Amino acid sequence: MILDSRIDKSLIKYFIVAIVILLPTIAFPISSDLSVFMHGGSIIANGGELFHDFYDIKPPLIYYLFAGINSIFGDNIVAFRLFDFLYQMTFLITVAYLLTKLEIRTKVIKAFLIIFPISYTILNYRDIFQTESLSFIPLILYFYYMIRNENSYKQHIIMGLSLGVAIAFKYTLGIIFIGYLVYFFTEATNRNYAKLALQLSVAVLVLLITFLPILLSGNIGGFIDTNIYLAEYAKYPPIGVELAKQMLEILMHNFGTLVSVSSLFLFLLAAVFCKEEKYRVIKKYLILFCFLLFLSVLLERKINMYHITRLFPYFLIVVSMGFIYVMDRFRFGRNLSTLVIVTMFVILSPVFRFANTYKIAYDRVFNYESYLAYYTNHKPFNILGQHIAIADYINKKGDKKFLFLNTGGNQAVHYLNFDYKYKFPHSAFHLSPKAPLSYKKAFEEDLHDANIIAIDNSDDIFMIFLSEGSSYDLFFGEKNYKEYLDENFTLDTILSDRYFIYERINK
Amino acid sequence: MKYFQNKYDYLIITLGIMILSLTLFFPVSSDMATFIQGGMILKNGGALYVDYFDVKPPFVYYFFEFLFTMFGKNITLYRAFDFVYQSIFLLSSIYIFDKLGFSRNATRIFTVLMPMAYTTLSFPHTFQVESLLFLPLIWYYYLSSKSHSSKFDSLIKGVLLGIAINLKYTFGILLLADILYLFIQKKSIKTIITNSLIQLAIALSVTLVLFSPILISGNFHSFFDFFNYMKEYTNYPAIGFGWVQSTIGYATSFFTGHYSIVLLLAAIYTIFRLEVKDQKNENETKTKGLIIFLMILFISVVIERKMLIYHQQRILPFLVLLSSMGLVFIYNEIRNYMKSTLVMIIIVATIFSPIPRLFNMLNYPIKIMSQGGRAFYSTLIEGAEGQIIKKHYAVADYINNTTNTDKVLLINTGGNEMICYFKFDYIYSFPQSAFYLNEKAPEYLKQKAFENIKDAEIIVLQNNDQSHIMFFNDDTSLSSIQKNLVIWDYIKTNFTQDTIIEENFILYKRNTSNLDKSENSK
Repeated sequence: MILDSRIDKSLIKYFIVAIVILLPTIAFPISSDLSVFMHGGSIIANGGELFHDFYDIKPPLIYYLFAGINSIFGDNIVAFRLFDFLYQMTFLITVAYLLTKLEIRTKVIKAFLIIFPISYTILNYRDIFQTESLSFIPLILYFYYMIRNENSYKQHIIMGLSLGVAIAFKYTLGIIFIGYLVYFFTEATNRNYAKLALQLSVAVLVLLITFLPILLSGNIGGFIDTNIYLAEYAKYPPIGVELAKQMLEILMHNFGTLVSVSSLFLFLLAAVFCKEEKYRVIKKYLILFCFLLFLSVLLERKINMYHITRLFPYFLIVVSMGFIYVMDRFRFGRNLSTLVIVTMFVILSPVFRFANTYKIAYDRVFNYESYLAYYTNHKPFNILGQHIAIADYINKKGDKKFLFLNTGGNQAVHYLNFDYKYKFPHSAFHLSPKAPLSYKKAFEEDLHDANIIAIDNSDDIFMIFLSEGSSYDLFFGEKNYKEYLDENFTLDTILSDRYFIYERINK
Repeated sequence: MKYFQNKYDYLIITLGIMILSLTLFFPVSSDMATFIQGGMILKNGGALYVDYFDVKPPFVYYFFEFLFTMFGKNITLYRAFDFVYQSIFLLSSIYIFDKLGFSRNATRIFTVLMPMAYTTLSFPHTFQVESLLFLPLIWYYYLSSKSHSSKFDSLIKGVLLGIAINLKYTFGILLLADILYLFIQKKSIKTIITNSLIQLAIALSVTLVLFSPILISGNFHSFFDFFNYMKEYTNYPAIGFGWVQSTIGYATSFFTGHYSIVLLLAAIYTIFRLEVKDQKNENETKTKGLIIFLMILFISVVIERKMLIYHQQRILPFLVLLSSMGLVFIYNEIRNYMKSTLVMIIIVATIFSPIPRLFNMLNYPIKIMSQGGRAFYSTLIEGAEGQIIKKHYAVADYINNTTNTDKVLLINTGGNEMICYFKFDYIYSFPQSAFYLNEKAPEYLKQKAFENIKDAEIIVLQNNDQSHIMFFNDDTSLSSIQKNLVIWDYIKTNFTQDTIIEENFILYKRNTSNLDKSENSK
């Protein structure tokens, strides 16, 4: 199947355009999830251990990766964004290379080099650097080697590695293995079960390796407790009509507005009407993988905008095929259809949102107040300015024993003049009525060590707390904590009407 | 007629009508209450723009006067009327599409999709002037599509255009759609001009006839004054970048959320297909006609600057047919796929279609049947609108049980549903308090409102009805009236606060001593 593995030189200018499109992402601010990953990375980089000195529900790999970046650049948001920028450029080069090897038309690759960066950039200005986006390279490698179908040990080892890394970033991404099974039983001419087993074994091995530091450090208990909490977390929202309604509403918004009608239309054209025989198998499995990953989003029951990015490596190749189908087959001209289609592409496409990314980048460099204002308003999670204000206040005090009790994003800790050292990125993990006992004990160590505590009274997110109430409500709902605070701390100030700052009486 | 030659066609139309029948269980909406109030005032001897003020053309209120005469305040009967009306529209559409030679499968899909699209827009968005437009609209399109149209056809089109204009002035834009469509049909300039002039003359004559009660009663100047005042509302929201952003946002929400992504994509494909190379298109000109009508009507929504869902539903007849045609094209491509693939497609397509919302709509009849009539007014509707109805019902319930006067004045904006629950006919002049409370309200409307207040024995005043688009600021009825010192002073002197219902409706009762005084003075 491989004829020419060299990337077409004409793609270079498209790579340059891709760079220009992706460049504003470097200016994007810290998001709540990024903040948590950076927190974990910082703790590990400073000698801490996962599930002993830091607790979160994601698989370990993401924290080790962030620890690596932290070791080089420190706790610096721009460095992390730069890493993401470079990663996505690497992904684009990888896709261009692999699609060339699969004899996909250069036009399609060119379209992908423009469509992918736009789609990635505009999906959500803040939440794009996620475990989903870090899985793009393993996801595309896995697909490529499946289609290439050499039936060699090398193929299955690479597929196993890719699958393992994808799962190590997010467990549910393992669903792509079902896609391979479909391929194995319907397309593969020479079914070799031993090689299939090898692929699976390599994937398990990779996953085990990512858990090795935890196993070796004896923190498996913390990991098990985390998974008990994760099991509770996974139960919410409960399955029922309300969940279905909520999910449909979010899906409509995510696909209709963020992914955009234009992309969906191009996907439809490629999927149904594009009939190039040599693409038949590739297209079929790209669509199947999209479907499986879409199912995985539904199974997780938490449809945040960034969750659907996992479809992008496959979905946007099909979209690019659709784009070329339009260019090849549609009679552009002074006709009614052109008017409607072009209008639709402008209005129901990400063009306007994309233009805004440059404004964000411009403001980041030249108009920081406007940038902060954009990310500080009444909308949920738009709390950047407030978190910076907390950090500024703590920095002035100069005491490094600062404990931040909030849920939904601890961005403040990355604006401190020192490395934040406490264990929980979300107070819900230890304040929730369903929190494991070991978590509560770990938190009490932090509580007894801290000299300044900030408690959020407006972070009531049922989905994470698994109960009603904010950090403030649940903290003071615990008699021991309340008494300890009353005896040893005094209320210093209240910031932004929601962050209660307490200071130890006798340090 | 080709359509009813197959027994399945009867099943399909039955299914379409069954879906439509869900609207029978819908409660009153704010706009419907406004129309009913207008009809009620006229039926009880009031005059438009003297005893009742609202923004729609007079015909709408005369029409509702007729309905009120038959149905009174029974919402189910109004819903039944809408159900019958939409069923007639559906049958007309089948007849017309059949006559115009559209694919029978597309018509079959339309027969189910149109009721689905209409019903799933939810209750506040059905039975509006936009949905009353459907029937004249589809016949207008039919007459425009006839290859050999006579002057008589132009005359009928003029009547239909006149009716459309008298449902909503901006519907007059249909004439532009007709002209463009005739151009596409390559009709001669002379034919187009003659046709347009005939239509315009007849439409103006129809308008004149429908305005005749106002002209004869000598209230035209009142209409004119009020019409001029209403122009203030057309200035909001102000045109600018924010407006463009919100217009795109509302349009996207309507097309992808309310209408659904799958149906939208199917419609776009039909449009796209017209210019695909080496592609044969049957009915190309008529399909272009559908697109023109759709676009022009959508432009009229944008011109109105109020991108409400029910405003956008005026495009549904054309949009749904385009979607139906697109679904047929797509089905023809995929019908030979493997069953497993089809299952996959059906799962995803169902998720992004109106079908889940349709199933949710089954809650309406189920709850009414299981919880009885009260569910109709209280627990039936979830979400913000349901909560509003619940509150309105609670206020009406309180008034019905504790007073025996019909001099109850509601001062609120955004929906006067409670007037349909009062045991008496509502007698006062304004469906929206903002008409006389906002800063730009003319003096004569303020005077009229003051007369209402002086006459009332009970006042219901809402404290959370902020609507920038109506008040031109962030005030509520309560805060606005408190700024009007003369009126507020009068209320404070002559009324006593009785109670607050559902936290938002403050009830004032006229002081007994004042009542005695006014009776003595009489």
